[in-house]
Parts: sequence; C-alpha cells; structure tokens
Amino acid sequence: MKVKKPNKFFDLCTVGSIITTFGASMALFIELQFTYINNQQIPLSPLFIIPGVILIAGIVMMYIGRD
Amino acid sequence: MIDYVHAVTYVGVISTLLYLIPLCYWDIKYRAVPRYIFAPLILINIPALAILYTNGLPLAYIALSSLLTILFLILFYIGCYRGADARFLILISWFCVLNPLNPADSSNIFQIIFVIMLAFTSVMWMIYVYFYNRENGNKKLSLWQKFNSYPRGSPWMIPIAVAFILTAVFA
Repeated sequence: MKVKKPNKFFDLCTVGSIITTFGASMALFIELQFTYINNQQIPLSPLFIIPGVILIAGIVMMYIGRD
Repeated sequence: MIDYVHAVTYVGVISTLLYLIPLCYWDIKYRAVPRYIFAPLILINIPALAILYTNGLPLAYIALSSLLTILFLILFYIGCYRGADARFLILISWFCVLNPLNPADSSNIFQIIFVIMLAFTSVMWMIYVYFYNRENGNKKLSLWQKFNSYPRGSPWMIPIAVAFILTAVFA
C-alpha cells in the first residue's frame, strides 16, 4: 500500500470517521432494536435515513483518511 | 418434535460456532486464514434468513443482526484493517447479536450492551495506541499510521485481549 505523507486533512478525516461511524451505527442499532421490540416494519423515516447517510459519510471519510 | 422453522433459527448459531474452531486454529498456527473463508457461511445463512423472513421474523431483526457485520465487512474490503483478527471480529459481530435468537425473548438488552462495549473497547484501544506513539517519538506519523503502529506481543496486547474477553463474556 502506498504510504501517504502526514497531513492535517487526513487526520481530520480519521477523527471524523471514528465519531460519525461510531455514533451513526449506535443510533441505527438502537432504532432497529426498538423497531424489532415493537414488532413494527422498518419505516422510511428521517430516523433511519439520517443515521444511514451519516454512516456512509463516515465510511467514505475512513477510506480517505486510511493509510 | 421440532419443526423446520425452529430448526432454521439454530443454523446461524451452530454454523458460526463450528466456524470458530478452524478459524482459531488457522489464526494461531499460520496467523492467516484463507481468503474466501466466509463464502460458505454466507451461502448457508442467506437461505436460512430467507426462510425465517417468509415465516414471520421481522425485517428489523434481520437488519439488526447483520448491521455491524456488514459494516465490518465494508471496512475490511476497503482495506481499513486486515488479517485473521479482522475476520474473527466480523464473525463475533454476527454471532453475538444473533445468539439470543429466541422468539419469546424479544426485548434483549444484551444485544445493545454487547455492541456498545465492543465499540467502546475499540475507541479506548485507539486512544491508548495514540498516546503510546506520542510518548515513543513517533510524532511524525499520521493519525492512521499511529493507530496501526503499536508493539505486538505479550505485555502490550494484554489490555486489548482482556477487554475483548470481558466484552465477549459479560455482553
């Protein structure tokens, strides 16, 4: 793998990816848990869409910041 | 007499438990596992999940049990981490959420606790490795390189090993 030069932008991406992936996956997991407990179908609501988008953004940031 | 729908609920748990034996053996002996080792496990489990879904298992549960596994698989395939430990983590994330697959026990708080403790362990490990590298003169490395550059072996890996075992045992 090609080694990148240390850069503030890549470090920022790494920090951001950890926070967003952690937070969004926890939020999605807990929402899915309560949807399952209440035996409901998964609604196409902002409660699921917003953490999903944040999670994808976190994965993209992790891809940019990785070395 | 157990019907086939109830038998299918054990496919995920039993197939994963059987997988852990050769995976641990390859990891200990060769420090590596075959590349497409998860293909048979996925091929066995997708029809099982399809049978459960058509027999009334909520979609939320299927998404719940596969959310972290899919996340870890994506991170694995874009090269964020590699090796046998990564595959072990993927397998544990699948098994520990799927394990209490019991239709009578729907409000299982242990699933949430397991996920939070596993994520907490990884974040604490990153903080530890970051300060280790700051103290040992690797200040010029990027953050990602700091996370990946840590001493392996007996005294240094004990905190992560203890944390991982505590997570698996108590959550």
